[in-house]
Amino acid sequence: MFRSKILYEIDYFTLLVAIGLVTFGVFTIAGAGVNEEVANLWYKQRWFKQIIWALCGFALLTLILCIDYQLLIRFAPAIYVIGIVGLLLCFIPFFVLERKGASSWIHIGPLPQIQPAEFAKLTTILMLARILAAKKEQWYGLIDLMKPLLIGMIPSLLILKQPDLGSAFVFIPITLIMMFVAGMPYAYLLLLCSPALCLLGISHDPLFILIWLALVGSILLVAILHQVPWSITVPFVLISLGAYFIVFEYGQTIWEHAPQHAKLRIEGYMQPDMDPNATNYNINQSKIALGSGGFWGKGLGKGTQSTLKFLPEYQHDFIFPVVGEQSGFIGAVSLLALFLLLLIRGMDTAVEAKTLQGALVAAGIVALFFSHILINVGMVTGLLPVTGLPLTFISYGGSFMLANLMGVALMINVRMRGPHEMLKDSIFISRSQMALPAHIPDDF
Amino acid sequence: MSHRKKILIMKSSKVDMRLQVLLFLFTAVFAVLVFRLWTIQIYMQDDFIKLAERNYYRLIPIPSKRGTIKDRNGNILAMDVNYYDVWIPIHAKNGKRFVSEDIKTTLNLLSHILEVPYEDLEGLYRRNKRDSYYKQNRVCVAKRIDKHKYAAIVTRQIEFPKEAMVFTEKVPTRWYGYGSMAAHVLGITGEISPEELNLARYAGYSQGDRIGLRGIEWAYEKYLRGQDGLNRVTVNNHEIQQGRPIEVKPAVPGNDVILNLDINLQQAAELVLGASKGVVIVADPRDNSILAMASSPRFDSNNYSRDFRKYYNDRSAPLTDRAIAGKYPPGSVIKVFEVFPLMEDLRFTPGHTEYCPGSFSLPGNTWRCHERNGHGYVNMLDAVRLSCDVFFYKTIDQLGIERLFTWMATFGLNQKTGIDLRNELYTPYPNPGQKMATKREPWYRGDTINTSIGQGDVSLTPIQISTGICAIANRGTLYQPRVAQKVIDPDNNEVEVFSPQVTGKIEAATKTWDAAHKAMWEVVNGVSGTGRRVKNEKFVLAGKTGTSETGVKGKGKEPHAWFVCYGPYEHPEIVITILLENGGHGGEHASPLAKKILDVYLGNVSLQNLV
Repeated sequence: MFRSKILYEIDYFTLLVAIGLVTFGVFTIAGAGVNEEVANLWYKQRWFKQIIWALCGFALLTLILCIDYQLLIRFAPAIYVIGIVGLLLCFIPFFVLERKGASSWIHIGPLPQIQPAEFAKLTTILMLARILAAKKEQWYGLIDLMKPLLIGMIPSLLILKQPDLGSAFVFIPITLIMMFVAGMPYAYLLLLCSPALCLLGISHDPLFILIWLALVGSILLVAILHQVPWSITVPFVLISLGAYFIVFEYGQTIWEHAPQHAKLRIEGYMQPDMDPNATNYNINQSKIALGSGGFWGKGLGKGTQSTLKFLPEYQHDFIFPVVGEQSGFIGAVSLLALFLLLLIRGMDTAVEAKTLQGALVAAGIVALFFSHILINVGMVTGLLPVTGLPLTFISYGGSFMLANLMGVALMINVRMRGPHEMLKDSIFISRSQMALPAHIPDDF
Repeated sequence: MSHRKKILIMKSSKVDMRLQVLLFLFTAVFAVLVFRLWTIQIYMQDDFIKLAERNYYRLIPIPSKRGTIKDRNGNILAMDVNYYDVWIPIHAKNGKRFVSEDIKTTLNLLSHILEVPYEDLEGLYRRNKRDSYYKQNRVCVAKRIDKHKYAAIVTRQIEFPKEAMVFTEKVPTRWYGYGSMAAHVLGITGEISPEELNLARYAGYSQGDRIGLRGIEWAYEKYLRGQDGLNRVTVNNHEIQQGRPIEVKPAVPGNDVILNLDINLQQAAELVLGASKGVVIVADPRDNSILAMASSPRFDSNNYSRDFRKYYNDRSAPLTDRAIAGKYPPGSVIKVFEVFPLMEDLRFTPGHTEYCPGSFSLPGNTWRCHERNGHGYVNMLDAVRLSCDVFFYKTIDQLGIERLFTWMATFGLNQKTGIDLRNELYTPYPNPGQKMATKREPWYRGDTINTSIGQGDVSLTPIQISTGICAIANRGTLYQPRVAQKVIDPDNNEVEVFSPQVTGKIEAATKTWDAAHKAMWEVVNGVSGTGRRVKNEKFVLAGKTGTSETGVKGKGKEPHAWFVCYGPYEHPEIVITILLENGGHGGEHASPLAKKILDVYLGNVSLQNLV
């Protein structure tokens, strides 16, 4: 079942980058936590726990490498349902563990607390890969569009209910990117985005409304020129118009009835200089941490913002400022470079994958990582509004570390199993069951 | 076979192209992020470093100890005692009205320790929090607690929650060991006002600093004030200090001021005055240093700010230092000074005789002598001894106001004495020019008559009289009265010693001095002298009584009683000036007080047996 040759085919590049990132994270957490209450007990400190989680994660990674990703795709519906069930457990008071006002954690028996949302992202990627690959890059009616959207939306809405705005939002770019990779026409993408584009045109200025009309008209024109089926064009244009008029008429009311903390976050994002001690406290302290780090940083464990706890959540969502404070611009850019390296390698994996499922899985994982990095770093630098989302590989958290390493495992898995591998070295599918696909390219 | 087809779906080059588009997009986004990082970490680095330091550096002032005020024997009259303010951190993220559980626990514990109702503390916390929101990260919940309660807080520090740790701040507070004793002389301290901050005198002061507001505290501010120190500490987000201070600039204590006052005499002076309104000044004529200066009624220095409203509204004006700011007609006391112009300018001899029929008349008005039946023929010494008014009406009328004014001015009666206390007042000695300027009236001959017996517009402060008598006692040197003797630093090194300041010389013939001294000797030791009640065989005194009309008739409006004396007669070393406001007659009411003070001065009577 397990052949020694597999060791040669593991993508050590991805693995090394992942190990580098995890190490980076452990050092950052250790440096931020020097003033912790339990500082005298090294085995109770977070950096040590993080190492344990990472080791578990690598064990899990090894396990996943042994399973052909094609098999995972085959059982994707079941895996997806397991992910949904995990999210549903968050609504059962017996399992749920409420923390910071969100019921995102569950605990089952003696197992450590689990955050099902992190795993649901992976299961959804698998499911989307299966659904989208089955289209064989052929896009027709509304059903083709709605199926992947629905699959992405179910876990997203469940997570939104917890509430965990950041994680719920991540499903949108993942789904769109995977649909885009699966060959969705640009016109479809434009139509998908049209409600959001329309809302940008909300104004009481007649000139603005004219521009908006031109925008909607051009979307319509593009749709017609690209021969998008009416079954898609009409509903989306209607949705866009509806959204526009709802917001135009009832925007004020909706804003008034929005949750207080959400309003404050948006207001804080719109006016960065407002209330530095209250509404914008987090982002303000985050920028101070980054800025005071300068080019070379203050040194590991010497960051004043994190060790003196001015920076909130400095081990979870706001870990990037700790990096910037301790190791400066050099450290922060190095971390971003490592991330970019991982993303490039992931994309390369997708290009190399040959099969559509493999490409979609790899692109989905890359989309997941990219969304987390962009939203997190954008948030702590004040480019994006504050939404709680941890930073891949760096933030402290067991479920998150496991999920990230599982994602890396999927990436490596895709890379080490090209069609050639599938034919010859498949672990689970016996040689007799193997058959060449109908349309293998000639040069294969 | 069908599911195998599903498994292996090959991708087209379109997918690869799209993956490359995505990768290009991702790289562009990363470039934006790097640019943003560059803006924050390199371009705006200095601003953020400052902001970070504002987060974790705190400059904590170390209040300096204000100098001690001591009497000439080293008894402490005023010193700094440490009290403590109690502070609680504000949790910035919480709303304005929010009181967290930790804060509640802390306030609960504090209310037990300080024995204050919990509701009061929480109300104070809420109010202070609302007022100080965004300005500072902590609020004061208890002010000026004593060292016992402070000790209780420090020992129970571990019981307070970590997030809401109390911290205490040392607040040195002035303590006057003898309560109201010499309250006017010592003065009080208070917070500097915004107007005072603009004065050149208070350059280098900042808001909230303590300054001396009156008396010695005001006059010797620059010596008494120390230099506040500064602690540079690191704090965490709950304003709790981390480790030791990074930088310490220690506080420099102020210098001590040693006064000329003798608390024995001061207490005696205040005891003999009792509840009556009046002034007692005891001075050393050799350099006019003030041994005691009592003004009654007084205020309690320790509770000055608490009772200020009460004192301020009190009709008896306890806040006024009558010794330097109370202006009274001197009455017959002035006659001692008038001996000089009579002998120097009119060439009188002590035996110059006038007839006193009991009154003196000018066209249109008649002035009576206090002896209705007249003293008959009196020479100059008799006139002073018996305080004959008519003798002086006649002679000063002959002398004229200009020459009288010149002489009185040489005795320092037309100027401030320049005593080292705040708010000294004076009224110009009456003269034609001044009368024309203020009243727009010419000088009449009758004004000279009124002035001659220290009535009319003559208005002098007790310290002016005391200073003039000192000049007579030491035969001609006018000194500035001095309350402070020297300034010493905390290590007992002399910083500054105040030498006697001569403000004037009185040129007169020896026989004039002898005559003036003889006349004052007669007042105390002569037959039926007005000051005979203080006669003392061993410590020979010479003095003069005075009974000045207030110009207001009616019950409770008694004349002011004056008595001045010096002794011993041959080599004067003490001058006692007594004024009883509306106190009756000088000989009858004021002079007995001088005897009691002298008893204390000579050590014959202890303070306990004085009254």
